[in-house]
Amino acid sequence: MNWWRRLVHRGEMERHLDAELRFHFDGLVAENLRAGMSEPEARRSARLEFGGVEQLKEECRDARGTRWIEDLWQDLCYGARVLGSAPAFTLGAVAVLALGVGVNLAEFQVFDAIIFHYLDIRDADSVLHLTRNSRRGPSPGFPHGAVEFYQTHSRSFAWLISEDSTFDVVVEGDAAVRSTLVSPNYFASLGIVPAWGRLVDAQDAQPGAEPVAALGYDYWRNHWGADPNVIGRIVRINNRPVQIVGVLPYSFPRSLLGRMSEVWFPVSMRPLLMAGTPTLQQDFTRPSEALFGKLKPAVSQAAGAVELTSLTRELARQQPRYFRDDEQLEGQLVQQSIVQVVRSRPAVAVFFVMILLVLLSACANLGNILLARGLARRREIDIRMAIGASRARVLRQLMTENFLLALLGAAAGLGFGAAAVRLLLNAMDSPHTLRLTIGWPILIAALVLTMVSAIAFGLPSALQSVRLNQRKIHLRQSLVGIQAAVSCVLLIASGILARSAISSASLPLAFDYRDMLVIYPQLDGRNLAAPVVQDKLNALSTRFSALPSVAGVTAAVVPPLGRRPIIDSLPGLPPVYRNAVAPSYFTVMGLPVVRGRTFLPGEQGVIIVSESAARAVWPAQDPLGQQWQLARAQRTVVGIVKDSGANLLTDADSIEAYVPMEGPDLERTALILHTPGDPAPLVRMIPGSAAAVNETVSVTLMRTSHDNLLEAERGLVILIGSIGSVATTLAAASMYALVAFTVAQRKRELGIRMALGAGPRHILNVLLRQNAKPTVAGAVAGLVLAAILSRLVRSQIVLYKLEAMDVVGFATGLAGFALVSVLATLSPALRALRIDPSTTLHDE
Amino acid sequence: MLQVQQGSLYPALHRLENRGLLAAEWKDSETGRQAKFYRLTAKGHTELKSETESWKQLAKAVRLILESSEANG
Repeated sequence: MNWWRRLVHRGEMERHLDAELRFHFDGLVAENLRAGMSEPEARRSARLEFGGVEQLKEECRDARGTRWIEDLWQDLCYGARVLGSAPAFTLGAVAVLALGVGVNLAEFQVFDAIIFHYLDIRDADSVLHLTRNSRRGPSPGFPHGAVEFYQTHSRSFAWLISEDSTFDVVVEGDAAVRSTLVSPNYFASLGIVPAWGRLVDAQDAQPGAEPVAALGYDYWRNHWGADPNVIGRIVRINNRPVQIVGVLPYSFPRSLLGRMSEVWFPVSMRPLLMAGTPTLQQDFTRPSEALFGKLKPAVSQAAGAVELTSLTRELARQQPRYFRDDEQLEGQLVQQSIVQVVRSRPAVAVFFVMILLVLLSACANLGNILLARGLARRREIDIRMAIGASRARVLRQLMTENFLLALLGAAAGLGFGAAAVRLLLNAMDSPHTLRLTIGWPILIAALVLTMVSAIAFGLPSALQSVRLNQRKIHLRQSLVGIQAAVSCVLLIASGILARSAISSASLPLAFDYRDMLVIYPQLDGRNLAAPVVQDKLNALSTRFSALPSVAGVTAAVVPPLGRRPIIDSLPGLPPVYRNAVAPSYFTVMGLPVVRGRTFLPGEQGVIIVSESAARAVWPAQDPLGQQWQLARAQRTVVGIVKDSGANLLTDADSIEAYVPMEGPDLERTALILHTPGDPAPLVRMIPGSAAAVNETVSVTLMRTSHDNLLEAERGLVILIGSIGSVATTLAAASMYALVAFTVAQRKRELGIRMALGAGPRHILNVLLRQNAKPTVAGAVAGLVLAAILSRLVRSQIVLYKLEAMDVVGFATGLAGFALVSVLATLSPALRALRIDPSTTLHDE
Repeated sequence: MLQVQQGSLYPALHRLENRGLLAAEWKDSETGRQAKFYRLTAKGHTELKSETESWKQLAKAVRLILESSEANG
């Protein structure tokens, strides 16, 4: 009979064993009878000769090799009964495990969804973003003529698509709406299926096609009342009648470049939407499209890039004004890998550390609960060992119970995790744009996490129960210490982050970004001479100044809150945010010149610094008239301006410096327009106004840039903040459990003390002193750890304003910890005070 | 010389059966009652041979040692 049958047919095995032994025994009896013994005599003698039948049977059962699994089953049954008989303990332990594991699962899922699955497109892992690179540096984008050229001539790509999301539009005369122009094959190639109607497709590329638009899901839901009848309606976009033909699915809220987009047009509509832009065919003047492609199967990424680069050579030959012959095309996967994510957003690493700390805190908590439980069960264990159970056997039994706990914890953790995910997504205000994947990886992660934590932190108390580990006091105190330290770190960290998030959200900007428009003239890459560029800029400025309700126009290479800051790193100084600006910049932006003056027209070799820069560079001297080597020249300080605050959004320490615009700066210049009224109508007028001087521009509201900038890290901060609340709960649960257990365990002693006349103060003192030392020690350790961590966080999270040693943040965290500890201690301690000495002593 | 209770045979038999060295089947015995009959399997035969061999080796070695110590003593 094989092993499996021996295990399954246990009853049969027992009957056989019995028959086998009985056969032998009966044989002995018969032999004895034949030898002339009486019946009882024969039986007695046979028993002596044969040995103890029950012992032999036990030995035979061991010999079967199925014993361990039978024991395991027995242990599981017993464990289930034990857990069932102590519901308070079981619930507590499972809740703690579920909290620790559930949070980990939830945060991982949300994180995974934010970082890896926000692109809900076909073949997301093989779509390449193609960029131009030459000796002059990376170029922003491709003109439409080039996109069509690649589409026609490339052989190694299954498809090539383009998108252009550089400008905002006005829908029905209202707010500025973020839009994206896409190539006609865009949605079909990405496998995006409309929620309603149809999306931009090939028919929109036909000559004479009607102007159409598809709405983003969120925009459709929030601004159009989620009304499917909107399809077919004609709306005025940039004052042109455009037919709405469909709604995008909720899973595709952003363009491939990651820009939120509310309205989507075929790229062929650009001339219509932006008066003055050239017709699309053979247009090389406006390099505003981003190019994406998917390689054919069996074509390597390198081969694809080589082919496109050689096609670019050909373009450079045909269009030498717009393409350089040293340009290389490079492909990068749209979907980032985890390594890239951590490298590009180091805050992610901090996030990982924090969720692991939550798990550690939950584990220490569980360890404490199990330890308490072990003490309460000491009698039972002692009895079992006294009647012959081996240490290993009891240990196995205890660990089986832990295993059962882990299973329950995993199940509860999954449930809690699912609920937490929903909460988090609601908090982040993006409930339906993320795709959550609850699959095998999550289930397995839940099981592994709970198993590891239940076993690693259950083993010490199990060992102690069987007396292999005598240092129970140390174990208990170190668990309390770990718990306190981790709780402290988490609370302090979330205190700091919460403060930084609040201070960033209310960061005072010295200029009113709501009243500003940024206009990007398309002057670079056209090989224009500096005076020509200057003339064109002047012409544009004059035109824009003439528009109604425009208070001023100025120019700067780096528009504030934009995506292309120039940062100089100088020895011994904070990062310097450098800008090249026109003399009128400070007036138009509303940045007061505190001392000195602004630039004179055409002036060179001078510099204006912000107040913070003045303090940082010349702490003891008058900055005016000082020399400063910056931007490839020795410059004299002529003025000091108020800090703009825009740089502080990305780097809390940074300082600002302004230099006059020079030749090479000009073609990269953006124009900044200030209007005291609503800037939205201007978005519509500006392209037409530019067209009057034969220029094309793209327009962005500074408000949009501001929102985009803040949006970037907001999700992560909410995630980290949510960890803080879980840490608080865990800290409270652990403190509560500790004191409650102490009360239960020392009930009799407390009763005696009270009978002997101990007052409430004395009783509380007895209760609290026990855990006070490790808690304080843990809190101190936590403080030190938090200080180290905050240094780390500070160097990693750049967006939020973190002070070097955020005293208020630390104090908030510590106070939170103290408050939680006291509150959690209060209820069981008060219960202790209500102990009635006579009943307590009577019970025993 | 060797006092072993007869029942101790059975755990040993079961262990050998578990290791696949013995095969057992239930058959009628000469008294007409069902009894469990054990026989060596092929693996059992090999094992028996190698164990016998190693026992002989050991016995020989022990004898040699004893004889040489007697001769010297």
